[in-house]
Amino acid sequence: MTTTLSDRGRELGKKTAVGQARHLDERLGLSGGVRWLLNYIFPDHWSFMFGEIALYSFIILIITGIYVSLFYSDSAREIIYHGAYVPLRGIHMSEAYASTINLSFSVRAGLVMRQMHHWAAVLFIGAIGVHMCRVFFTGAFRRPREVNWTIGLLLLTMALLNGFFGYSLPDDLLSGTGLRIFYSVFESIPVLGTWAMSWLFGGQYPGTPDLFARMLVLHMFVVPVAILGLLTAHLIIIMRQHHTQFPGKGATETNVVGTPMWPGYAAKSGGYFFMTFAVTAALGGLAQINPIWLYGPYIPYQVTTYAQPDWYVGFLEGSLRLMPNFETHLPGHMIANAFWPGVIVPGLLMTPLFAWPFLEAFFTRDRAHHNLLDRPRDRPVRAAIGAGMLTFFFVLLIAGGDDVLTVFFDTSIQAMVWTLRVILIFGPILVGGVTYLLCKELQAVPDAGKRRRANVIIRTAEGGYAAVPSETHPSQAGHAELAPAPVDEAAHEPEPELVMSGAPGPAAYPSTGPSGIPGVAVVQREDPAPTMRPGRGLRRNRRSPRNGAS
Amino acid sequence: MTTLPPKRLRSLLPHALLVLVVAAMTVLLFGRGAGAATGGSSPPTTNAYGSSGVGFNSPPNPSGAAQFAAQQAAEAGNASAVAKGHQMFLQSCASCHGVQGQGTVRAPTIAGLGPAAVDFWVSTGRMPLEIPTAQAIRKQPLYDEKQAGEIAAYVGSVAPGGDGIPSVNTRGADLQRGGELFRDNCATCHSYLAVGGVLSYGAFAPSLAPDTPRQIAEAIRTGPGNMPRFAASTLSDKDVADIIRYVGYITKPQDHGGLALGHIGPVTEGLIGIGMGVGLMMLAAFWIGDRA
Amino acid sequence: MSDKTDNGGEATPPAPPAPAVPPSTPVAAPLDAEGERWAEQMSITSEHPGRVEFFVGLCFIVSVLATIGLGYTYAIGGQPQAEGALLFVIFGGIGVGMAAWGKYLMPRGPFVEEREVLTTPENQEKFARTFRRGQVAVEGRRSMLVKLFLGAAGAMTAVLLFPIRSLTDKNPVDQKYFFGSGWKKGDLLINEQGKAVHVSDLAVGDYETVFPRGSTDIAMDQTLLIRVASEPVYPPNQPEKASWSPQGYIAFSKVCTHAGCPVGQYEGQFATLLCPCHQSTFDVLNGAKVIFGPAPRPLPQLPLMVDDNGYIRAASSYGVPLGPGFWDRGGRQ
Repeated sequence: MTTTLSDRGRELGKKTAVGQARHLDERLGLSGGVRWLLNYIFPDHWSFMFGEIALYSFIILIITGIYVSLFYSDSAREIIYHGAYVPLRGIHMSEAYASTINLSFSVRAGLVMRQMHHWAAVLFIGAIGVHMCRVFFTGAFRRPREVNWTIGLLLLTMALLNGFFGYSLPDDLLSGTGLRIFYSVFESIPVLGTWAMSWLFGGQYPGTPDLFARMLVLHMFVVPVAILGLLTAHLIIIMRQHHTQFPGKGATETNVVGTPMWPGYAAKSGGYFFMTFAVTAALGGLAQINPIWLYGPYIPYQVTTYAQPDWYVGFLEGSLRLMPNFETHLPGHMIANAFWPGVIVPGLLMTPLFAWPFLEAFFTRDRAHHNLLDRPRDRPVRAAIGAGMLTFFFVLLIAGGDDVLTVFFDTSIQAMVWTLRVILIFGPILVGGVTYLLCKELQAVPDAGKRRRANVIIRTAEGGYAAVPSETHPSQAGHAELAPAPVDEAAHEPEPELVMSGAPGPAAYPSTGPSGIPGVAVVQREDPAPTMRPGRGLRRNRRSPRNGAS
Repeated sequence: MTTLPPKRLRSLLPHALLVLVVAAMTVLLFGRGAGAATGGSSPPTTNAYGSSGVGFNSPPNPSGAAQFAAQQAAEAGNASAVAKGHQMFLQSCASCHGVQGQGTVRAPTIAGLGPAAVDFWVSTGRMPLEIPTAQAIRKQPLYDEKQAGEIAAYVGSVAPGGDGIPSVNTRGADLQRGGELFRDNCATCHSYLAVGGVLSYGAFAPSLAPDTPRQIAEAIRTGPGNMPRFAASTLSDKDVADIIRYVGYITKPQDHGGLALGHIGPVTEGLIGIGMGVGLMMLAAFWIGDRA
Repeated sequence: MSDKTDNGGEATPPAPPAPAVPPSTPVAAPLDAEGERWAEQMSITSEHPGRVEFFVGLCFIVSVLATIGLGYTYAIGGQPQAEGALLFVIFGGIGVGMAAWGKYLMPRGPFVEEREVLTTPENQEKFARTFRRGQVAVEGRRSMLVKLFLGAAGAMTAVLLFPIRSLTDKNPVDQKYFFGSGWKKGDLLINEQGKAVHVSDLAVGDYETVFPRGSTDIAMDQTLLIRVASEPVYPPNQPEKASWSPQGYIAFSKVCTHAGCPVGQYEGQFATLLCPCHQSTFDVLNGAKVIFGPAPRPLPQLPLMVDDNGYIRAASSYGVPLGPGFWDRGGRQ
């Protein structure tokens, strides 16, 4: 067959690429490890992608964060603004605030980058939340994954903290009010509270002018490094233990069925990263968030109504609003009211979460390794308690915006607060109970939730009518009937000879024996074996008798 | 054999509907300012409408006195205005406020309130009160400006006192200073963008978007309802003009960042972020991944 | 890996009887059952690869067009909504294209791999043996060294924490700083505009925020001055406070006793102060007693007096620490 110029160019390119790869491999010895990674199987179920939303949001936060920080000034020095935004010209404000205004109005694409950064934070924590729910309700935290669950909760806490510091950096009226509440809540901690806040802020509120420099160090460096470290550990542990998976389709406790990293999951997940970026960008340009120029600079004796923090701190806000007004008096000392809603309530939420793997192992006496997941309905008690805790969290979150709700429902704030207090106490019990009963019902119906084939009415030759199940959709045909094949190609393809010219001597290729990595054999391959080539001829016609469709 | 359309697409529908519902709810919030307040427990006051008498029978504002005196002279002399006002007053106001405006069990006295207050309440449509609520709401006014002035003339002729109708000139007003003053005095109840805010017992600070400059000035000077009264020594006429100029700006702000989401702040931002942001990504995961 | 002679994926004719070898496969030996199954699983997912390929290509092309659009938008000065929408198309195009490629044009699978055994008793035994190599270093007298080492490390850790104290020179033991305020007897009330408040300034129902002259701490010194009436206002059971509110002027700390927000909302009709943060409500006519909300204590009241020139002054400092409670505050006010 004739080879064209492009054919030869392609051959040359391939040889160069392969040559480079060999170059690196001889020096770094990566081919075994990377091959392990390329063969790594991800489960296909859609709920496994929630953690990726968080991961990719974090990457977007880093990218946009670096850009935004290039324009931010962490100085609290008071200046007079003379920039592009007219309604603030001549106003006294801190350099921190002015730099953020400047980024929003005088830097091309600055506002989009700033808003993307903020929206990515909103998405980040939301994604951690749905991911955590998936892990919780399917029992993926069980042995051997208790450590990873703890790491995940620590990641959530740090993300929350970082988000709070991040939106406090611009020194606007709304976030400054939030800082004041933060100070008050943490100074209410017995014994250490006033000391801790004194150290962090540099004295009594509002503290030292260095406050923004301190917050910037925490927000840009300390917490992100901690998040990166914990995230890396989180991912390494996952890969070391392999993902959990839902039962079915040949899945067992000792294998993983799904899509290998290369090429399927790399493409899907890479695509998902860009889709996350796309949604963040759409929000960043089309939906205004944190319009600090409208709030005005932070002045301690000013305040605006509708004073809410970002949604992920909203549950604390609601907690502060709903708590009855008592204060604990001890001889010579006081436990301030803000301690209970601001410190104890989040503690009440987080402690069972941190302890959950151990609590569940204790109460179910189940200390076995679990690599297969539960369907939530299979664990009604866990599902009910989880639903109850979620309800508690959501009622607190809604209570954080109870003044907005009061306007929405045309009622009084007093009525709203009391209603929410009642719902807070009884709601989780109610929802938990209903969830328990729902799970029991679903368990009782064996086919619940499964896709059923619809019945198609046909006319028989005799003239009567009959109902027959419809055919499975072509895209579903293969999966249910094919048993999973081992991903390691070495099991399927014959070992080809080395055909590449200039192959280095035996020293670089110690052996074709075991690579030392369990389950992975070392195989050198030049061209993919012919059986690997996808495309026409190898796809079976779905309607052929071989597939069993009638 | 008949095959049905892909189940995959059909089963995406409920999830898409969910996203739509969240968006619709946010739009509802977006379009909703501080509406009518109903219900709620009653505040600790002396009569059903919450008036403890404080603030209504106050001594006249010293600096407005001259303005008022001139106005009163002009109006009292205008017998036809007073007569017309009397008729409208008997028709719409006397049943609750009394024939002379002296107050009844249903409504407080309006004697000595002054033309500014009367004009504010009538021209914003808050009076005549349609439904007894915790707080009178703005609605389509029954009387136009001229008629409101006539009613004010009548009230003034019966019980003199109170501020005269202010004249507002925002030309040359300081937008930036107005912003500072607004954030000092007004944002705490009306919110940073004058969309309104919640007060106790079903009362609320309304959105300032529908108000004319004169109505804002009247409100500042007379302190309707729960609003404080800002005397000229607290907020001079120039200060008031500055504030009004700023209110004019923030009730129609240029939202450079995109959709304002109701100008309520993090509440709607969170709703959109989770509902649309995480929601869209979950839909995308549903498409990319497999079902169990 | 596109074939130049790709015919767009037409269905092949039904396979001939065993062994079923598709005519275009250039493999000499026939596939066995397992090889066939592997071939099946390596074939791509999609029934109509042509359509998907077109879609993926289109996504990428649209993305490129949007990139050009973004470049243009940036060049002409930028516009946030256009930038956001175009970025959505750029990233979305690449993302959707990649995801569709990964879902429909990849080996169908499903694939399986075995999990590695995490650990074995042998591994643990070997580890223990390696670790015990260090035994000789800590035997006998040398075990004392271990204790001394731990002591030294502990002491070092404690000492390294000392610089934390340098984060501020104001610590809660500084009573005057943490418990007091800038107000003292005789201080003029200065409003936000810097003017001293005269007794004729506020009408009944008016209010403003005031500070002591020369205040260095406006965050804590901020005080609300309200003219509630024309006569003194005091709680019914505390007539001694009548002198605190001359001519109906009454002053309370603006720092909420709940979490420190400025209590800015004065409701004239109800004569209450409402804090916008968590809706604590204070009854002004009753010494700012809490009547609703989470605030645990009334707002501290600043006693006022009118001097000979008619200017309002503080009659004394606040009697209690201001703002939210904290551990060392003690007391009940």
